[in-house]
Amino acid sequence: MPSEGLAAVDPPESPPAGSQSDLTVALSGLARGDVASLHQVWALCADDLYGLALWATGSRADAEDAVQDVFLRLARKPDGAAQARNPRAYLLTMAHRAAVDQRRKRRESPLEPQMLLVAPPHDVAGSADAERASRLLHELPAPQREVVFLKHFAEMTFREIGRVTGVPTFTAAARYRLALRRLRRQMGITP
Amino acid sequence: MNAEDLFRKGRVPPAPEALRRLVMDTARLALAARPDDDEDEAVRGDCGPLQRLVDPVWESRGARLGWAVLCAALIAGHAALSRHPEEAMPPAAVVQEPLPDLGIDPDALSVVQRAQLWRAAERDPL
Repeated sequence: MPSEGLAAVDPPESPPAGSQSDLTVALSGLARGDVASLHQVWALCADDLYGLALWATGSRADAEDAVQDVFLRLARKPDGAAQARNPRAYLLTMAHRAAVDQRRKRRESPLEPQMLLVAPPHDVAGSADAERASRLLHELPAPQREVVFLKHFAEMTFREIGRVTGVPTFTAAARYRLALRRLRRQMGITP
Repeated sequence: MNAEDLFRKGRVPPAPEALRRLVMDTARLALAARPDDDEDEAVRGDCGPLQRLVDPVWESRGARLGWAVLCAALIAGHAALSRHPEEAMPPAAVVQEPLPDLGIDPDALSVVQRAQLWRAAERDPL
């Protein structure tokens, strides 16, 4: 579990083994116009892209639009992603920008907060917890939610998060720290 | 409960299956509609209109050579003019002055020679 402090800003950058090179291969196939590669790219990264867009926008409809936008751009011009040194971070950056566009278009918050976390199927108690967690996470500003998602679920370093969201490493770490502090306050935990 | 434990309370919802079908359909169409001549553009990246205008100029060897020759000619011309400005362009007032009578046909002299003679006569009048 990553520490909250800024001292632990940069553990060694560790893209998930295997998936990174698989993604590169799939994107290269896509650049050659191979339709099967499109399915492969989806299988490898769609959940991450959708998760980031959902946490960034707080709306399922906006997240779906953002993911669709990413894949459309990818189908039209796959070379940028295929040549990227870290294609997963490249795609997450595209998703982040698409989510920001969706957020700007919408301007007001979605009427009903969406579930940002879901419990495993058939886990009734877990479902209540997930609902409570989602409600608390909705209270966070979108940029802080994005950082929390990228840190905990996409398992990125603060340096990578900074690159994806277009902010300095220090800002990414500070957002994460502020998010945790706010969550603790909401949960009534004294530091 | 720790704040970080909150994230262990569930998992992020996966991308819906309906979205997958929709995205695959639209992306497949976009992939099929991608023109062959889009390759150059893809390599060049998503550039602005100015770069789109300038790039073809630099991609042609003839155009690059033309630019180089033009720049070299401009530099050489500038250097030649700034080295002897008075010889290249004598002041009109000097040329208009009547030359001292030296027994030389003034029409046979060039503008520069006339200017030199006039200056010499001014320095050392007869």
